[in-house]
Amino acid sequence: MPAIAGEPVAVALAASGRYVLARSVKYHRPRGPVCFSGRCDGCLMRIDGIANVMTCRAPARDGMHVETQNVIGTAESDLLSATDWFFPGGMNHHEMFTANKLVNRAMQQVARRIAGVGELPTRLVPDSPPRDARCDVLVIGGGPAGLAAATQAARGGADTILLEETGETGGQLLCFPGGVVDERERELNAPAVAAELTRDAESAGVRILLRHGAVGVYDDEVLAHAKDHVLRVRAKRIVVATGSHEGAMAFEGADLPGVLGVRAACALLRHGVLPGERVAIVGTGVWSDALARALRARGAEVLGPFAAAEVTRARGRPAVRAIDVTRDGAAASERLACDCVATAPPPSPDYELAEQAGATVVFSGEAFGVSAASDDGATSAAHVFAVGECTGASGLRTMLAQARGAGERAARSLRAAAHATTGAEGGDV
Amino acid sequence: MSDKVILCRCEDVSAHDVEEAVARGYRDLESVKRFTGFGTGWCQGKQCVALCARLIVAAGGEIPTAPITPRPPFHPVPLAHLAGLHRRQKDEP
Repeated sequence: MPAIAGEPVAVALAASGRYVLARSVKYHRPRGPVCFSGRCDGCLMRIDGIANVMTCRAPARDGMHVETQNVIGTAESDLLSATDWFFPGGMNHHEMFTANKLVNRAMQQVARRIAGVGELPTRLVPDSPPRDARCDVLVIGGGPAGLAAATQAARGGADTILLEETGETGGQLLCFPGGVVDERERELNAPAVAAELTRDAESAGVRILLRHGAVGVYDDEVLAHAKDHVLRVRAKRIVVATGSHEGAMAFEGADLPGVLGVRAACALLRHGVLPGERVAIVGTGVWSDALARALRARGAEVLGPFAAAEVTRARGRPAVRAIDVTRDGAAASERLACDCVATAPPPSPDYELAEQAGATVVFSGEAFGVSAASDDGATSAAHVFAVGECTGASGLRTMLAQARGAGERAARSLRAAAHATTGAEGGDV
Repeated sequence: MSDKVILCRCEDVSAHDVEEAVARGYRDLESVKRFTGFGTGWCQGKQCVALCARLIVAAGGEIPTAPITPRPPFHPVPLAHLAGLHRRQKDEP
């Protein structure tokens, strides 16, 4: 299969029209990538004998061996999908086959063979020693908020490390196909703003570590994952700027391959891949509008954007081929043919790492997010700040102001702590 | 495919499963998670936890005060890299 060297495997597959990459664990329903950003289950495949590789994050190489997992047949046509038909009302695994001990034991044997994701690797993967780093301020996430916070902390004299899980900084701005208004009230295209924020961070002396995804916060250490080792970072202050992602939407067939997020569709466009020839957009907002414009500019047909409540079902087998829409006031639904559905659910903030660091997470009625001050990102944990979309904030200028406030306050609190220490020892500062 | 509205893609938990759990008296987010298994798969609830919380509230369950406990790792890490933690560390240049 053709691919541009270095582009993610899942993107190369989408470019060849392949959205059906896997099957779900229980009912063996067809699965495909939803997020193209390491936040879903849809792109897991076996690459060169290693199970469960997230192909949206795996750069394509010549001669790579990419295989579908958990199927009898292919991802498009999996015999095990009969499970979905046998249990149309779902499986109650609390009471299923529990009447008789022998039957129960036999069923467990069968279930163990069918269930699970992937098989063990065919070769031994060598372990590699960890690396260690120390800093004053650690910023997790290299989107606009993370970059602004890190820049401000470094300008305030703090030795600052920024961890970015992908290969470049700029976050959502890199994929947004439109203009944004920056801090100086200029309307610029989004990637240009990302580039400027990155240059600022670099010239302020921020140590930017690309392809380093933070995966856990322990007592006084943040664990990050790089290509072939882990990194432990000890920091005096932590600024969480992990952003948000697109969660699932609830309509029948919403889990079909070819149904993906609007940001994911924009990410495909950035790689030069048209997500579909006829794309239905479900859910409204700036991303939906920008996607619709960008798709039309590239010659694709756009249906919608429809309000989420207007869409009752996505159809197709194994991938999406149509949606049922009931327009406002209409008595009956109409079936519209399409080869891709882009959804815009309410954003789901990535609150996990902030919560592990001790910050409080609250439910807004729509999603969970980190509870943080809007002016400086202060959280319920004294040494932890949270900024940007992980706090439920939106709007570039609002988020940048919050992030700069956090960076400044983190650096200031460190200067005050240093002053107090030297003061206690009787020395001058 | 049968007519299921899947909320949790990783573990194939449907809207029907969640409503059924609330009807049986599992009214809070954590209990419904344990009963249905939503949020316990590959993505650890990134895709579905907000959606399930909204549905539990709509079905008459409790409004959550906190999410399901987000344990590390946030993102899957190969065991080999974690196994390396016992070895002599190198400082990041």
